[in-house]
Amino acid sequence: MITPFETDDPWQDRLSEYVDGLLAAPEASALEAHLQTCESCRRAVAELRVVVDRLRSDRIDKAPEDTWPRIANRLGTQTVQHTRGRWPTRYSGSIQTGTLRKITIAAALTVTFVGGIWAGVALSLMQSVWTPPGWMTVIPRRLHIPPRPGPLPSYAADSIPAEWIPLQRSVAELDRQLASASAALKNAPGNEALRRVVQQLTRERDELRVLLDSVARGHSGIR
Amino acid sequence: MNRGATEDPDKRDVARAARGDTRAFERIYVTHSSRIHTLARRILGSELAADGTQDVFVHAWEQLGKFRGESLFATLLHRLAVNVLLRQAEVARRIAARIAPGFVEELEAPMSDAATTIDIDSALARLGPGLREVVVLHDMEGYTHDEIADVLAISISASKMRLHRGRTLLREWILR
Repeated sequence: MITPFETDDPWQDRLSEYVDGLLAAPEASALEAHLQTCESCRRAVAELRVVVDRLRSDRIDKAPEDTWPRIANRLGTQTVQHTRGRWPTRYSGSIQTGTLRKITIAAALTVTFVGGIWAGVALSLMQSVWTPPGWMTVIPRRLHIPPRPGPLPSYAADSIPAEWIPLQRSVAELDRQLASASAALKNAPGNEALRRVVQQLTRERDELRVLLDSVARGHSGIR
Repeated sequence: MNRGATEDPDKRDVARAARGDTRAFERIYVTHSSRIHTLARRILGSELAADGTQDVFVHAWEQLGKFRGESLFATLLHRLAVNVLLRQAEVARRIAARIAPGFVEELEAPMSDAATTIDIDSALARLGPGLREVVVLHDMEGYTHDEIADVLAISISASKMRLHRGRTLLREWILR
């Protein structure tokens, strides 16, 4: 029977190193010389090699089938910790590309959504709460309809038919309002609402002028 | 291992798994489960191997964010597995020692029946604390004494001595 650790042979404790090829060349040579004369050590070396071969040829197992489902089950409970616990260290140096993309998209959507709401609220407030002053009274749209076909009145002011007189007065009124609004805008050049009013009045006045001009030219025979 | 010399085949799945992709982690599991389960059997024994494998992969999932790609993921996973399994082995030994105080000491005792031979698993199970780990890591997992000394926090000479002692005991139990 083999009885390890019962010998005073100094080489006994070096046999594994010899088997593994870890002894320096002089030591290996000395041990090989010893093996020539020591039957016990020679047998020990041979049997250690067998043991090592057995260990190295040990089988490779497959994990049981239910191992992954169990792991996946545990991952489900670990996901929150996984993200919270390591986020600061994982992303302290740089943000990953995918994350940056998500942040950009989220920011764009937020700006669009909030901006849209803000604009809608601002416009509705302007229309419902803000009451324009008297000089900003705008001629109703229905007066802008094109003239009816048929013979037009003469261009001379005193010869314009009575039905066109209100339009002529409207143009004069618009000119007066526009002059007033323009003067106010000069005093408050940053007033955007006032600027829009001036633009609107100008547009209305010009449309009426074009209309009135075409009426007068037609009435005077100018083509 | 030099990263530039070998592209890590797990790199993509690890990156995805680190962002919470369990399917990517399942692919990692499929690739490495056999090796990890075999390691678990060698260190913990057949009965505890499945639980040990689960714990290794759950720990790996938790540590994915620390993977920087400086070493192959397989190498780091194996090192993590060794640490997790050694800790479990220590816990199992303490429990066994508490339940049956003489149990651990009896492990290394010569077998009473000289005619009995045992297989590798049983022989490894009989190796006492400190011996089994060194034998498994060196002879079955290919670790060097330097690496074993690092993992077990022992000296290189202690690693060599434990390996020889373990092999000598196995030689008696397996080849008698």
